[in-house]
Amino acid sequence: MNETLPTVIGPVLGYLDYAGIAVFALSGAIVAAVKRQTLVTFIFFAVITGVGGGTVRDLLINAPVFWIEGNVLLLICLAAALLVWLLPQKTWEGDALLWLDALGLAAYATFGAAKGLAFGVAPLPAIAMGVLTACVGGIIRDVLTGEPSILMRPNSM
Amino acid sequence: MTAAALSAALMVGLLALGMPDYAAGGVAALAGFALRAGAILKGWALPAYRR
Repeated sequence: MNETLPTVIGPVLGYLDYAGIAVFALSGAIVAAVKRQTLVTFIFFAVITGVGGGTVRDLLINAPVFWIEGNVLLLICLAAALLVWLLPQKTWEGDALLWLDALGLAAYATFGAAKGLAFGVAPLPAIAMGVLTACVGGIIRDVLTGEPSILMRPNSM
Repeated sequence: MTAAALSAALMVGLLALGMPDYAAGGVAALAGFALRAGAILKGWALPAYRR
């Protein structure tokens, strides 16, 4: 991570951030694949799903928005989009999307809460920042594609 | 949502108790993932409003 963050966020938590963005970017690209979209749409969905939640979090806690400070995070999204584009349908069919969302949710909720604390947010809003980080990317993706979002599914635990 | 709330709450709680960030992060992320995995595999869900 970068030097603007206080000590609460060490390198291990930084990996959670990368893990979250990568799996959410993959899930966005898979939704584009399910909908038979073009490569450009794959990239769009990978980026918006991967960085959507963290962007809202960073704006709310007055942090520099995390993905515009370097090239790496968008490159991760581009790579995820290309990977899904090149893979045959059977590799991501079935429950892959659910499990990627589950991984991204856990990684981003944890990292988002820690980042909130690191920027001086009180404990309860920091928890809310974790939930936001984890949910908003997937919600934007699902709203854009007309799917019921994770908020409104019956077993949304 | 519930799994995200669990991960985020555990992270804040464990850091407040003085656990180092990598340990708290590991526990919080694994717990949230486990809860979500249970929901996917076994249909765990909170009770819905019925009145």
